[in-house]
Amino acid sequence: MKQFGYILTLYLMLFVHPMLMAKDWTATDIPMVHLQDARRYVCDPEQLMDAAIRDSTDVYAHRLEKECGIETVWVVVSNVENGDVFRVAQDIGNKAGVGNKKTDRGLVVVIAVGDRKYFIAPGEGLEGDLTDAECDDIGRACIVKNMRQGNVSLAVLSTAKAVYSKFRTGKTGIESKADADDDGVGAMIFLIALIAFWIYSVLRNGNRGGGRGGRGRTGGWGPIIWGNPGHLNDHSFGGGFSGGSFGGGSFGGGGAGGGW
Amino acid sequence: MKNKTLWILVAVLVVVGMWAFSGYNGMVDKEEEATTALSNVQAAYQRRADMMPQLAKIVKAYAKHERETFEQVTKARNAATQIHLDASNLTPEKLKQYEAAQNQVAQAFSRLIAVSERYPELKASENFKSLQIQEEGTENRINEARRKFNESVQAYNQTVRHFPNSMLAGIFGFNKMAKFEAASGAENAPDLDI
Repeated sequence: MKQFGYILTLYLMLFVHPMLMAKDWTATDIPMVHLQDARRYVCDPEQLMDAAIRDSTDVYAHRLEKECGIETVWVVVSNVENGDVFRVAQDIGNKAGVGNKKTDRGLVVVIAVGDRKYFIAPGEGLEGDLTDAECDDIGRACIVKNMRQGNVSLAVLSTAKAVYSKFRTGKTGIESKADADDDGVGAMIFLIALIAFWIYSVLRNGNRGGGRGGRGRTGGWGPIIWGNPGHLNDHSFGGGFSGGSFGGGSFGGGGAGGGW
Repeated sequence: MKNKTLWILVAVLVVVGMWAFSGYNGMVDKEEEATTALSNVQAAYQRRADMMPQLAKIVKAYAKHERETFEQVTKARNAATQIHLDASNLTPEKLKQYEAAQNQVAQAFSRLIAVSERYPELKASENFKSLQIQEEGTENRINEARRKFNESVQAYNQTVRHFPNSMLAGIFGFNKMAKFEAASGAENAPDLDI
């Protein structure tokens, strides 16, 4: 049994990992993580992003869905088929049906690190609120700027922040250089605050253990911070993640892209 | 015995009727999808036509001497906006005529944007840059709308041509629809890399 484990690990290291690395991804073979885990939105099959920053991006994407009604998919891969990030973004949007079917408010962001290209594609219902020019502004300020410094994690996170800011406040917040320079520090502070708050919530709930008649309390603030769509009021939540779904939205070719 | 035959006949008629009902509705749905996709194509082309006066106005402010280019733009735009596609009478010839007119618009657009090469101030203008981004988006939308139209027409044509649907299609007049064909360079967006 142990031997089988070693062989499997060796096989995965020798064959599967290099295959993933060398792959030209298409819309059909990029794993949609949101369908497996409703709290995740960033598809990073090659693990190009820093895990903590990816989680932070997931938090912003979750907020976009819950607070603004915008379903998003974020794709970070080395290469896409024919280097055509536009095609991949459109196909993901249309085939997965990102965004509510009635409102078509979906958003797909594709970054192909090896191809040095990106595309920000809003769904048909979002094109009026997130114009091509705004997509271009966000792309240049968040993706191009960070990718030129080789920081893919920050490229994705700052894009998520800009889009979230746009729909919460009406402004992307990318005009301010000081704010843009603060991205790394801001993300770190945000993460530390999240972790501290989560630990505090766990300890607080743990101390309340007695006197509730045997009903385990696992709700609290945890799901709100980490995201738990559809289960925010579910007091028996726990024991595995539930898969999410997309609403059947459609994409008509809007948005903007470029390279660095 | 007579009753049994009658019942069998009725049952056969009911089955045929249900098949015809379902087949007819299926063809209507596919035709509607193709018609909607055609409207989206025309809307995307119209979006480009609507952008032209705006772009021409900005270019004119910096490059007054490019009279010939402006005349070509106006001519191409006027010619293109006069041709409309009717989903109920969509022939390959009409599609080609429509495409040819739209290609003239695309070329005129390219020339208009190429003018900026000779006028650095125009090239640096924020309004011009913004319109250029919008134009790129519009070309993407046009290509996407054409692709979706072709896909929906393919689905419709397959439905009406497959046997036994083809019999119903013949009776109810569901004819094969024409698709956009990629003429040389027609599917490409104008080169805006300036």
